Amino acid sequence: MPTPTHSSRPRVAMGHPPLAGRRRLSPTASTALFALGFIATGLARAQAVPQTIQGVPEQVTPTYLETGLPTFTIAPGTPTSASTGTGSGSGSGGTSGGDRQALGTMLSRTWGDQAANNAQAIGVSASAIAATCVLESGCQNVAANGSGSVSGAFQMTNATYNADLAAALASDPSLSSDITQGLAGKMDPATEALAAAQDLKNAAQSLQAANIPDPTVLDVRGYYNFGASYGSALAQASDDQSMASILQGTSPATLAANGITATTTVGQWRQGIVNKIGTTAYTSVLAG
Amino acid sequence: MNKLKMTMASLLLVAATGNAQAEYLKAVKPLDGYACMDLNLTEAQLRDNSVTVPILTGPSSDAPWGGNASAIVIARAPLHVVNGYAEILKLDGQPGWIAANKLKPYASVSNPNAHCTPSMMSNGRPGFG
Repeated sequence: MPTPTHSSRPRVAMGHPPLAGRRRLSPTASTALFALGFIATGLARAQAVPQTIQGVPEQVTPTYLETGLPTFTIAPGTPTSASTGTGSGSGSGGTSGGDRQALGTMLSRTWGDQAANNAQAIGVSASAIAATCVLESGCQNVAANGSGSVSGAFQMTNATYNADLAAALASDPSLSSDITQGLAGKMDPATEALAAAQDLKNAAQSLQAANIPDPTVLDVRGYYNFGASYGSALAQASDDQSMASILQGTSPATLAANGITATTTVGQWRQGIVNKIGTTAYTSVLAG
Repeated sequence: MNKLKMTMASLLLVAATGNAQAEYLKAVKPLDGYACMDLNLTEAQLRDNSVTVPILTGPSSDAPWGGNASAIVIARAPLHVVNGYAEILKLDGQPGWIAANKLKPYASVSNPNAHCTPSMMSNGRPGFG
């Protein structure tokens, strides 16, 4: 005779049989006691066992949709036991969760929403500006280091910031009322986002003139990172070309400071970007 | 099991993509009558997005903008200068004009031994061989 499984084993009443003369509780009283026990158990658990959110936590309402990506419903996570986090975006990326990770990172900052609004006001997608701040600083407002003027969440030089901000305000003077005036604005991420978005727009328009009709975040990355003079060449370079062969006006020391060796290929550089921002790399810079 | 299948599918996709990208751009033949030239900018200026050298669609300051010049350009050789503008060939195959004083002979800072030959590439567009 086979041994019965746990589930098929007949249930056996545990504990003592009802004592003679012991009064049965009314259904209402039983329910109340059960509820009290449940609450007590819940309280005890809440104090003793740490709870985390597994899966996607409550999300910011996706006001700024990712151009070119299908919409999907975000299911809020449920409390469960601790599990590994989703990381900071340095993995291989490429999942639908990773698609929005850059945007989510930026929108989690107090200034993120205004930065997205400023970018979109001049025709640059929120995803593109979010990817830029993730790549440049992890969306941290970083002060200038050493003698250079590169600073802020978008890591712009003073010269580029001033030129781009002037261009952005020239295209829409009404934006000047919402920004921090002067060079101090470079350390106000929402204001610097406006200048950075103008830079991305300049890059996209420059690539369009080079017959790249719908430049992506990856396409414009060379322009933003290495300068306008390399933007078009990097966007059109083959994966097997070396970075040094494109950035020929750049000294080996400067290349090394940017993590580029003599053998680093364009393909490796591109993959490094994709690893950090996932498929946001392939989204359009210009808002549709 | 499902995770295993998804992993295998991902690996196959990566492998397929890698194979597709393995067909790299190659120089097919040199472009006669052209030479590589550098923009006459410092290293710092080349990396400064506030410094751009516009490509114009004609040899005049009134001509429409046709993009920004790259650090290395394909210029007519010998240099064809009209009204202070030198004729170049954009990488999309279209002609363009750059202020002649913004050009200087080619020399690679990143690799002093590098050579540059304007070439027709395997994608049918001009490039550097």
